[in-house]
Amino acid sequence: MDMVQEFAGQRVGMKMAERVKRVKSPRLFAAIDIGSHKLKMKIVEACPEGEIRTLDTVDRLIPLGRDTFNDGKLSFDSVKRTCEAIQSFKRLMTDYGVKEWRMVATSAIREAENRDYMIDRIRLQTDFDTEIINNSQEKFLTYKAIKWQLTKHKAINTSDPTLILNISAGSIQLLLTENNLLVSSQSLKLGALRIKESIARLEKHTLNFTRVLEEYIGAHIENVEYLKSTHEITNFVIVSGELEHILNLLGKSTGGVTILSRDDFEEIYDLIIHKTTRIISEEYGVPYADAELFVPSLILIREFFGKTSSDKIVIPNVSLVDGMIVERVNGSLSEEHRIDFEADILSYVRKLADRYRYNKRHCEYVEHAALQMFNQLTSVHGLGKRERFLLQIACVLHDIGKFIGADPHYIHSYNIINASQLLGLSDDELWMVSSIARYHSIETPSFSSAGLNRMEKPLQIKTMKLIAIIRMADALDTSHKQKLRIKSLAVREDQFEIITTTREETVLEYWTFQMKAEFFTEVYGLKPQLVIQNSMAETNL
Amino acid sequence: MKKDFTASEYYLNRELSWLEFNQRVLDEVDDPANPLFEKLKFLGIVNSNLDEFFMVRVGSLYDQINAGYNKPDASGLTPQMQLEKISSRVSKMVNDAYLLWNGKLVPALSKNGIRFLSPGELSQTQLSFLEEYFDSVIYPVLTPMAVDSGRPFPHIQNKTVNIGVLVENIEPGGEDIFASIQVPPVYARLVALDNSQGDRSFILIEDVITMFIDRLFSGRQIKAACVYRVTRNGDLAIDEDEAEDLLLEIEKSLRQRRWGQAVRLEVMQGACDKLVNILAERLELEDRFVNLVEGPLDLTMLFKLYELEGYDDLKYKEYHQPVSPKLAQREHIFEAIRQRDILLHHPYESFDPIVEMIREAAKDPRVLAIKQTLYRVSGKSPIVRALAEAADMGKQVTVLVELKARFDEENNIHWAKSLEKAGCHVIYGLVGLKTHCKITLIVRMEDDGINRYVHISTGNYNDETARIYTDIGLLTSDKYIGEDASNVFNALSGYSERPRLHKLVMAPTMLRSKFNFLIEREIKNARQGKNAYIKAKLNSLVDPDIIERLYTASCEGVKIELLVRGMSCIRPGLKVAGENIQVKSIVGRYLEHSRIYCFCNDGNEDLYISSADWMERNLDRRVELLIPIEDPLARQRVRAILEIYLRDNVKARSQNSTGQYRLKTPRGKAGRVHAQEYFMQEATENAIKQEALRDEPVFKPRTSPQQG
Repeated sequence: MDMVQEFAGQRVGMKMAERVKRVKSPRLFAAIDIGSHKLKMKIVEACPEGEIRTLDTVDRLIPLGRDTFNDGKLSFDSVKRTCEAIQSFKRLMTDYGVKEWRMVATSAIREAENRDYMIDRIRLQTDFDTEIINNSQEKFLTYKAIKWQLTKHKAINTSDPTLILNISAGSIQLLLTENNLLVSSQSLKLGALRIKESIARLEKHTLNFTRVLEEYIGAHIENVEYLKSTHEITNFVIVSGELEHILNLLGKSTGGVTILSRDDFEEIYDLIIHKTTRIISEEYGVPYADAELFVPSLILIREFFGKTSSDKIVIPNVSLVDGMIVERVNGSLSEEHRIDFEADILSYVRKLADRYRYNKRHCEYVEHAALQMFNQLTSVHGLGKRERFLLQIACVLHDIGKFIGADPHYIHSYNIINASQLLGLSDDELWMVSSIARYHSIETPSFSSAGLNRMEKPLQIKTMKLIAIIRMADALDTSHKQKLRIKSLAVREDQFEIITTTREETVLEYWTFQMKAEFFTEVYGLKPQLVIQNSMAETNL
Repeated sequence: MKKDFTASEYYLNRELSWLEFNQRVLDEVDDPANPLFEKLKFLGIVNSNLDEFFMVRVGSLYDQINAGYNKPDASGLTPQMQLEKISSRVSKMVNDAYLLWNGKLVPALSKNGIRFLSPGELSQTQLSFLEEYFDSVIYPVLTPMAVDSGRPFPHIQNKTVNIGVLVENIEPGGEDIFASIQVPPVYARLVALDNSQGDRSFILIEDVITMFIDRLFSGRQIKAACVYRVTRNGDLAIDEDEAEDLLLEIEKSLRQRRWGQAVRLEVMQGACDKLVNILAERLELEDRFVNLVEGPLDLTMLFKLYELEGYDDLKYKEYHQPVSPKLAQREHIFEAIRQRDILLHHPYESFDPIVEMIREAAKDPRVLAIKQTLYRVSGKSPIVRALAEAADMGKQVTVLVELKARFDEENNIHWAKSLEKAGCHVIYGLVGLKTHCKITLIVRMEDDGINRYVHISTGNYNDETARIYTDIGLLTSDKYIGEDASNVFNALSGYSERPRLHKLVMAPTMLRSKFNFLIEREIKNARQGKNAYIKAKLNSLVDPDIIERLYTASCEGVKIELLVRGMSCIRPGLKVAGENIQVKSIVGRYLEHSRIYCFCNDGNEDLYISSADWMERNLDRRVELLIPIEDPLARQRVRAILEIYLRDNVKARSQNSTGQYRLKTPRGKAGRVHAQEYFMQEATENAIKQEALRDEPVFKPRTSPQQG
């Protein structure tokens, strides 16, 4: 007995020592973004309390996007230069002794025909794995950095309605937050470069090119739904490399969060806007290709700014690499310090469902029931937090297809989810969510069913497990009247026992439950048993 | 009306200004305050300077002419006109140099028992010794090369001493034959002669060869003989875009240099016209760069003479370079730097701590990476060894090696390769840009995370020149400068494009506009009636754009005090330019190399050190750094250094508006400021004070009651 205690004591002691050591030396982390215009790496040092110190930022201009967007694939030269750049990044990582890193690639690689060869080449030459992320993951990562930065700086009251405008070369992303949570997201193909290229030829034909740009942009954002009520928006946040560049040139950048009043902004706007690209390029010594984007970016910002009632522009000075860093650092923080970014997705997903006029009470019932089942089945399904989260999203969205038509609403739900590019979800995750939604109803899935057939085997199994749960949860509320109250759940030998109470007639629920139970048994090897107790009787006792 | 300060009348020609700098070195030969052997050295420097000037500058002017380039420079002179003026200025300088040699140095040496004998002055014993020496030692390596219809004019190697002879043609009616003999460079120029009185006598080896020259042409009559020397164009012109591998290109051009065009011919006085004409013609040289010299050719041999043992009392008193007190008292250099910025003033303070720092970093388990720029480092440099050691210890070592340092490539390539072998990541410079900044970055993992230690200097990481060049180095752990240093290295390593810097300013991207801004601000302040001045210490002031701005500033009342060691193309004291510009130059025991820039900024002085001069190449074609000095103590120190230099009136000569320099030393000891001596004394005293502090015992018994 003593020995065991002593042994246990030693173990505890060791753990303490480990913890002390970890507290002492901050963690080093490198984030690499293989973007459409440049490769960027940031190396940071993160303290356990969440303070992030940048050690190094490097970037290398390699216009991969030009290859992919024009030729559909990456050129030999670009691949070679990319590998060389990653090798040099790797060397720099060794200079700091960095052992943890993440490398993501965005649209330029994602959309290239020869992307798999490219990734293989990178792996062979640099020993680094490339993670390809989609647009919504990219934008959500950047959002994480914005939220982190704004929360940390307390520069603005983030519980007020906030519009975040993220301008990149090809598109802009509009995010709206309320009460510190994301409520809306929209992407428009109205990037600074795209605008410039669409109407650049007009510059020669008018002396007031600025006016033309203003009209062009104005017309394009007219139909953005939630901009109609933007007078309620009191915060305006901008992510724009061009604006940061301009601020730098004018010596107005603070490196961290910069805040411009309307007057500050108008002053900058007037200073730049009437100059031709050539003059900007000469006067400020910036490459022509960079200077070209200054004017469209400023007009974009001004157009949106004009639609808000904010008296200032907040520039958090972040990019995708910061998002990767925040995600990593945030994940290692203790519960009370951590920002719950999944709450943002949930909030956004609920707003989305709201827009499709979902039956809120039914969906909440299904969500609640499904999550309860998920928790109870932990030892059986072996799935983790993220899968639980995906199940939750699917529960919120499973019926949104009814907005289009009742029959077959589950296929509409599936299509809407696939088309809506849920923020922060990878392609795999999106398919999981849409498949869970699709097969909650009468259709029973097989591995070759639509949606599932796009997945690798392990993912299919996971999805099947979640589908089995949502089907049971949905069955419990077949009538959409929330008749059954779940009293307890338990796995007993080869049975999954669900004990419910009700005061009402529940034949429909019971019948549906029995119908859907077969699939559950197939997936889990457990027979679901629905026990319905009459609560009237209970109270009578 | 606004004056046009871009007009050529406001600029001095840079080559002529450089020649005036060399004149100032020559003036040191005539300075009675300098010890005799130091005068020898200065005369040697005058000569080696001229050699380089011909190889690089005159060579380039010829290149321009050959390429058909005929535009005037800022001072309005075309390449042809410049050559013309250089020619007459050099002739005068060479004359003056040999007047000093013959008139002052030879007699002074003789007074100290060192004699240079001519063949006529030899004793019989000496004669027979030399005959023996010639026959057994010199003769076997001599190769006379004759010129006739079957044999072309031989290639005379750059900077070698040769003897040209006219030999009788035994064929009847034939022309005399020209032949040339290279004085073998393997032997010492000065042949020491046996001496009875304990004095030392020498004879020039070319004189010995000439004495017995008939033995090389058995039976034929020697009509005439003369000693001559050729200097050739040694400029490098590498098309970098075409160069696949920089390293290979340079190696190739090293071999090519020997074949450069002849740009100068020196002939010992007394040669017959016929010989001189043959030489000038065959070397395709114009008359203007044929110098007839009254004395021995190639006075760089005086460097050898300087090394003669037993004459310490005829040299500068040996100066022991103390270690900066801030570093002497501490065990751990990084600890010391963490406390506060440390400023080092070389050569008054020792450079050893910097070498030590690299060695310490190599052994320090917390050090992760060392990055350094190396430019003109000596072959056996302890720094190079320390870096190799660090790589051996598993540190990440990145070294940017600058290959294009003139006349130094062979040396560079050799050690760069050895570093690579040791496991360092070696970068061979940037295409089209020479990396001239001197910076070291040490990355260290400490309890509170990654910290960076930076050394930035105005001088190279060269332990040898650190004994004779004046430079200022800054050791700092400033977070912003640390991050800047990382960014600079990222740019140099090609990891990143234009670096964004917090405090450092980098050329060629930002430095010019920064200087423009700093000067413009003084102009603005002066216009508003505020106090405005610019004080700077630099090596060269050539950039026309900067000069133009300085004139404008002067007109607006900005006081400009400059200490420019070498070329200065501005014309100080011009009435039309407001007479607010003052330029001085110090040439002395140490080569002035530190650059300090100070701007009044309405009383809130901006103070910098830099690797850059005010020259086009520094601002536009090199990687340079401007470093703000911010630590209050360091500021005080740099400010004091600049002030002492500007107040120097013993060595500092003032430049007049036509580009000549005059020394105005006050009579008597009072009020005399000799900056270099002052700093030596100061550093020594500080070190002694420090030592005394350390040795002070805590318990000190009184030996007797104090009296009075």
